[in-house]
Amino acid sequence: MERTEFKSHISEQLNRNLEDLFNQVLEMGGLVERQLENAVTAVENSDVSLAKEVLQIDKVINKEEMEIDRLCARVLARQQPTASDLRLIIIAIRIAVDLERMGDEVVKTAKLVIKMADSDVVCSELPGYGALLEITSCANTMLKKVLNAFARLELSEVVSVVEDEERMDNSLKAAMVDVLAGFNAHEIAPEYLLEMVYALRASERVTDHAANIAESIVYLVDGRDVRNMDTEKLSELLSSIE
Amino acid sequence: MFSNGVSRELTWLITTLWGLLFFGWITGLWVESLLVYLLLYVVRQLWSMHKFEKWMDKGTQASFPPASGYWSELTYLVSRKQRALEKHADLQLYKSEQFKAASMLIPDAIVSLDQQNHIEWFNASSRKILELRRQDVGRKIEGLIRQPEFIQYLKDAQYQNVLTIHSLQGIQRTFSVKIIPYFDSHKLLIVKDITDLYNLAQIRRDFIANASHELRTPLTVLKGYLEAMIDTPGSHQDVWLPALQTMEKQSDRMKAIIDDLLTLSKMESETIASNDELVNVPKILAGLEREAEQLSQGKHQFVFSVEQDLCMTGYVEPLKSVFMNLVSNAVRYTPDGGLIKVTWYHDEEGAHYKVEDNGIGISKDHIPRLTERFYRVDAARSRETGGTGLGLAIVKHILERHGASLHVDSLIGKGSTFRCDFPIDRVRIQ
Repeated sequence: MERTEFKSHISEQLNRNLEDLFNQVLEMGGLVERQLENAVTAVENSDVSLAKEVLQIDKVINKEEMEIDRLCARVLARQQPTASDLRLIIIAIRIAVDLERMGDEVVKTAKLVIKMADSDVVCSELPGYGALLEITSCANTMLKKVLNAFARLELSEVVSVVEDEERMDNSLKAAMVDVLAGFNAHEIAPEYLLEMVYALRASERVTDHAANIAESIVYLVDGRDVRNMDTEKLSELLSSIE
Repeated sequence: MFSNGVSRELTWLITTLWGLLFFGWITGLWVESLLVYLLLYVVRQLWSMHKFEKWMDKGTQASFPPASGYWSELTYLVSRKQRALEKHADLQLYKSEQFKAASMLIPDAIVSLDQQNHIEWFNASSRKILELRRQDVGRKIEGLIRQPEFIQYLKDAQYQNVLTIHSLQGIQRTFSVKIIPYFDSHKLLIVKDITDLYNLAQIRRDFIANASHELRTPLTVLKGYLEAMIDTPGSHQDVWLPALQTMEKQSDRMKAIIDDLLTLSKMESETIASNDELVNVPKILAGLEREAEQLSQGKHQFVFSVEQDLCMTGYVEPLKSVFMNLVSNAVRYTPDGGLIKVTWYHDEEGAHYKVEDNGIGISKDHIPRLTERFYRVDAARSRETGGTGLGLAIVKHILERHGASLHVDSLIGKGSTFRCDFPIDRVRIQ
């Protein structure tokens, strides 16, 4: 997909629709970015109002997803695009689903902050707190990278996203060991530890979705489906593209 | 007499005519030689034209221009003009390069956007602040700066406002974002890092709020004991009563100042607890009329003219203090027997609250500074009448909260007019 502007069609309407769709996806991405930023700050400072804001933004994100679906359906029904335009529509739907799921997962992290505010245990005392921060802020940078890759239609940063995702898998495993030790130590009530487990799992899921989006972008730019490909093969492929 | 080109052509003609005469004299074939001469002249003209055209077309290097007569002069003029133009263009290029280099070095991020918000160019600071890259020219700005607030700002097109963002591209600093329309619906996006300024203002606000809060507690204790001392009967009262009463008066004044400072810092901090609600202004003004008469103790004459069905949306308590502050100022600065007119009305621009008096007035150079904290036109007089020096500062802040503005007209010796203009979208007619 060489072009970056939607001016190549004779039909003005199609140009406009595709551009709207493109911007809508990025706008939705911006909202999820904001959500993740808030979640990181909320976890760091035990800021409940910020955590509640995350829940508010999630509602807007859900509406955005519907809007993207509507735009996609409109283009498909009226203009029947092919080739890269068709790919754009397919991945717009896919990215929207991923982003919406990401929004839901971030909400789980925010709920940890809200829950901990009612207890006498501070967030930072929970086992796995460091890992949670690490995974959430890494998820944030990953999302930023994939959205930039989408906006610029270039794949130079996509490899690092896939690598980050594997790194975070390992972080999660290590954190789970910590939390399990916490369960056995009986110092902190299990309900809070359980909440921590949910939050950790959720943050890790966010990184998975970011990696999914990265794969969708490879499909959009290059037309090749790289899902279920292992990292080595993928990075080989990506370096061959550039 | 002749222009250069014509005289060159004539020189050529005369020289060749001499040749013709010589030829004719030798051969005696006058008519034939004249015909050949004319033919040669026409051919020369056409050939020169052709060469000139070719020269103009190919540029100076590719072919030679015609070099005799009128055409050589034409060539000379054209090439002179061209040299001048090239010099001018060089100068322009130099100037624009200089300007570009200067704009690159400006520490704020500057991005030029076209009508559809595509990036046209940006300066070096944008690479750092906005993380833009060279390939981003031609892309849409919304795709690269995705902050929801920014997108909203871009969509709303209310570019007279400045947007303050607390994080940009993942950097947790405070930025002020401004868009300036320029040059045929192009836009200039300016992003400035104001973290230090913002923190400084925050520290100042916090300091005032904390300090006034901390001062209030000891003052309450002092006041309590003072009251007790005044109320204790005994012979010592003959000596101490005046002193105690002065102390009580001064501590009341101090309390008023602290209360005003607290109100002010509450106004300044960004959260007002309550939401916008419908304010029944005529009802407030009715209550105000009674209070004003109490304050003046019958020394002034009041005229209230209020549109009974005119209400507005806003914050009730702050608005009350705006209305009261302006009236109590009028009472304080109008000599006994003066007339104070309070008007509440609306026109197509919005609702207006106006307080007129025929008091001592304010000179022009003081008017712009009236809303500064502790600014006093006449320090002695203001203290004597019990002002804290913060009233108008509070009024200004509350009005800003409502998107309203304060206008002051005054003539020394004639009196003053204070008018608050509330925007039309806050007006509600009941």
